[in-house]
Amino acid sequence: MLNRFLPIFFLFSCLMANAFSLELPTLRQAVEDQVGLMSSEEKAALTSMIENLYNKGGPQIQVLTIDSLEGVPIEEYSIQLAEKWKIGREKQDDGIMIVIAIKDRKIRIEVGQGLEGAITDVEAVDMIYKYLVPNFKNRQYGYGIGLVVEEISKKTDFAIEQVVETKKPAYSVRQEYHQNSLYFFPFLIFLMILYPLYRRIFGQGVFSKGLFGSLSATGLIWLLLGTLSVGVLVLTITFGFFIGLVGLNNFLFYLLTNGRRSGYRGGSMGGLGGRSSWGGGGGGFSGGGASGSW
Amino acid sequence: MKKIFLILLTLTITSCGVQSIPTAVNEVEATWAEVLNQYKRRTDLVPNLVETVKGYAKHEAETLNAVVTARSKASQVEISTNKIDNNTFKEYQKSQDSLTQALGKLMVVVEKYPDLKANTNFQALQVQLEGTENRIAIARRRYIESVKEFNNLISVFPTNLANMIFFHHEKKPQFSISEAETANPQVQF
Repeated sequence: MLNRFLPIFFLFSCLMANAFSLELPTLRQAVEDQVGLMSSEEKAALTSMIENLYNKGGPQIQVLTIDSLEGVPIEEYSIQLAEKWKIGREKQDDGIMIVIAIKDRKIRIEVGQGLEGAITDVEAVDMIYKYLVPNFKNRQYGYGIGLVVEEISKKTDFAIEQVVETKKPAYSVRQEYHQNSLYFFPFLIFLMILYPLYRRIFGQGVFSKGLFGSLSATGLIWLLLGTLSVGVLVLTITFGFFIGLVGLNNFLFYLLTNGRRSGYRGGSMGGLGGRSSWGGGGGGFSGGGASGSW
Repeated sequence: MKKIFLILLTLTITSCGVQSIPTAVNEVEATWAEVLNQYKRRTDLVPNLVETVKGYAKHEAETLNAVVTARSKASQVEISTNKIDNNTFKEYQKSQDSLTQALGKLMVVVEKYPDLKANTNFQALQVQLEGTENRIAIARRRYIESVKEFNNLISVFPTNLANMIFFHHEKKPQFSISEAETANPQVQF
């Protein structure tokens, strides 16, 4: 049987290897400046602009600068990246990526499927040649990108009512996890404590021998079960209370953290607890946007 | 009886294809619809492009005619979204390829006319054409991937058993590599 499966696994691993042959950077933050084109102030300013826009319900913008494309056409690189990072909200597909390759002097603005109407290819080209190219020639990278972000926010201020919806999943998943792990506990405790106790007290001796023994054992088990059920009831209530507390705690935690990050899936940007991660929300791309060079 | 039981057992134990094959069929249909959609987008773009070029490049009647005929041929091929028949697929592919080539020639010829190249309307059309070619390339790649997965599911053990017993699907037509290469010649703008 195993012999039959091995080739299939092999085949699949080959396919997987093929699909990810292009080496793509990991997504950590909104401004992924791999080359160091921008100062930390510029980066911070740009990041807060992008987050602000996203929190208001606008599109999710992602900036990436890389050293070299190593011979891959920028359109190809960009779409592979889009498929990996999935910038933008799911179904709304409102992600935009600004990809900059320094050595190749190439720019691409990749527009998510849901925004192809708001930002046409022609408008994307215009943004490249109006804001990016002239500023890039003067090495004012952060400024140029900032202008594009501003322009995008002007062109897309239509999707404001959607923010709340994207928050929900993280909360329900977390709560479920706690409940599952806690409900198991009381039963384990009962098994561990009460069963050996019964064996120790009544295991040998008069109560476990003969007719009397079996009768009394049945009675005792019945009695024990009775107590047990009461115990279970009491404990369940207690645990229920704790679970409630945990739930409340979760809820408070959720309020605190999500209030700050406002809908970014997966984490905050240096907010509470210092957890910093930024991720795509499942947005789809189909090749909209434009490329240019400076 | 025992054999049937064994087969059913294998099917339930392994992720057997009862779910994954219909999913893959849907995926193929969706990606194919996208291919058609993007080619259609290009077809719709052509008349405008031809009109604009005509105004400036009067001596290129032959190239322009080639584009117009290729377009009308391409739009004549009737092909449906959910039933992808092998012959129609090839015919469709051929007609779209010849439109690609005709457009490629046109965009080379256009280089000789600086006035045309400076025309904002033409510039916009050029960007749209570029964008459409890019979308076509992506749609084709996604179709290729989904068909590859589908064809694997119906021909590779163990999921092929599910296909043999329940679905009886045949392999979906695939873009061949040579077609994929000739379909995207470097259009020099």
